[in-house]
Amino acid sequence: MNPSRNQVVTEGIVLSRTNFGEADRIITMLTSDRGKVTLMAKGVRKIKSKLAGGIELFSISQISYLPGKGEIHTLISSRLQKHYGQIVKDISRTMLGYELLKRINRATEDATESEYFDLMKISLASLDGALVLNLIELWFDAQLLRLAGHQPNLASDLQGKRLQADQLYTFDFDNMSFVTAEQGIFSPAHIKFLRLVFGLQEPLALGQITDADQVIGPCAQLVATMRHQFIRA
Amino acid sequence: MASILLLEPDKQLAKSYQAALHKAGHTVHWQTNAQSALTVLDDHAPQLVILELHLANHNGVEFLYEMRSYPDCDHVPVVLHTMVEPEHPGLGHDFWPQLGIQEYLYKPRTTLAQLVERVNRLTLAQAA
Amino acid sequence: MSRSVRRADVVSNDRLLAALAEELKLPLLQIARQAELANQADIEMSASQALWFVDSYLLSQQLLQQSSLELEPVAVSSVLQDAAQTLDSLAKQYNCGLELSISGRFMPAMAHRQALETALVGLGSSLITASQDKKPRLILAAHRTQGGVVAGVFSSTDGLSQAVFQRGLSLYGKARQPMQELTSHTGAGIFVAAELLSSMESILRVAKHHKLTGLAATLQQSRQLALI
Repeated sequence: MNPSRNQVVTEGIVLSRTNFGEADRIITMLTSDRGKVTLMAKGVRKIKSKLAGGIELFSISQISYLPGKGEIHTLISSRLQKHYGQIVKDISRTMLGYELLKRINRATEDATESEYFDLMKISLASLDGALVLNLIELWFDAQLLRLAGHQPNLASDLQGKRLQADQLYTFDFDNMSFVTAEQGIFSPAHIKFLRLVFGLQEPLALGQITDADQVIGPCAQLVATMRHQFIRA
Repeated sequence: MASILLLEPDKQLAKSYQAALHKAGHTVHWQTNAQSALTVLDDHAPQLVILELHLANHNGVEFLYEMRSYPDCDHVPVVLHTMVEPEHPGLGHDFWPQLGIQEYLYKPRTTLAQLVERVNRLTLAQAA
Repeated sequence: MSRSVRRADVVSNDRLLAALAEELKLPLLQIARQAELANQADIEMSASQALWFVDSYLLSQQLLQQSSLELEPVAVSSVLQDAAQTLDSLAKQYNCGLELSISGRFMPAMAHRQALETALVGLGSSLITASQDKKPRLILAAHRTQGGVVAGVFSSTDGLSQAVFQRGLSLYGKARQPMQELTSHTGAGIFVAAELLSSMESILRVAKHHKLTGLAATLQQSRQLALI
């Protein structure tokens, strides 16, 4: 049997790394076309630099691995394609980077769609840039919900009426819709903002919205609650 | 009393911290960067880590996550002793339990006596 | 020079100043810790005070850059106690009697806790070091009024009046001694306090407390129900 025929070549983003034995590491990666994979990187800890090399966090690597009989495959080679090096220059960005990796790791227990790889790739690129963190986090959470099929109704209220410019709303989590409420905290401005958050293919444009900081607080809290409730990530 | 890994990038500050900790009876392994600190973790199995977050090349957060990926180091307590100010958004308490951070000390307002007192308390609790 | 070029200069100067302030923290911290190791309490105190000034400047700049400051209900008496604790060593160094005066019970006030504490320490620090008395007194005080909770720092030091303070506000950063009637120093702690309080939409003004003169600000009381 020709070993190279069995080898899988793909690109991946490291989600987590754990030591195994004296010199090995178990690496969980999100790939562009194979979903989430668990790889054994044998002898990798013998390499002098543990934090450099082809299995860096906040990077995209081209990897090749041999499928194993069980859930763990054997990593054969790894080459760094793109490293988002600006993230670690800021403590808050680093923290959010790790947090997003953890969330997508939890959210992709069963999923294998390539959209999750794209989501993580865009998020890392955003973290690597200058966009404010709360916008990146909000957009990321919204996309996680969308990919999991839990996007809220942002077109009409619970009664099916179009959302009104002079109305205040609360949110009904059971029906994932806005409901008119005299003391509601959500205005049409919040809802318009949420439409952009869920609809944009990347978060960069959110940074150009004037007064985004006026509406982001309640929106972020709402989306975070949805994430906890429906994705548990 | 205890074997301590001190991750402190500044030589002058490190001298003061080492002297105070030695005086209190601790063995101090001082490293200036995350990479060499990981080697100390492997070679000396310290009982406590005192960590500055602002490091060169790899920051203290990266070191912490890397350290927690070593099963042997899972229970080693960490004291953040850092120039990162208390109101910094990255210091929300959400990540403290996950990363085994026992204490946060803001360097400009923490005396040597206070640092030693906290270290003694943590190492005694660990020994018990 | 065009207005936009001048504005760009100001912004870049602010950034440079913030970077310099951040950089100053390290050598000051080195001095403080080396002095502590060598049991040089006076040197340690001076370096710690300098560190505190740098930190409070950076905090004030950071808060002023925020479009809206998040205020929360804060127990003013607790903040006064923390500020007094911070000022204790400096007060001892200057042989200054330090007291707390909290009259009556009142609801928490809407404030930014860190900013309020830093402001009170700044006021106290400037008033302690300003004093020429052999045994000066400093009181950190709070009481309730119709307008809200008044919190301030009062001193036995002479020379402070509303006119002196107003003139100082217009002169600081331009004159070496903007409140010369009060102090030989720059009085920076007072101006930092003024900036921090203004970020909470509260105005610092000269006030009296039991025959002592000082500086105080009114904070809005929290409207939350008190849990008894």
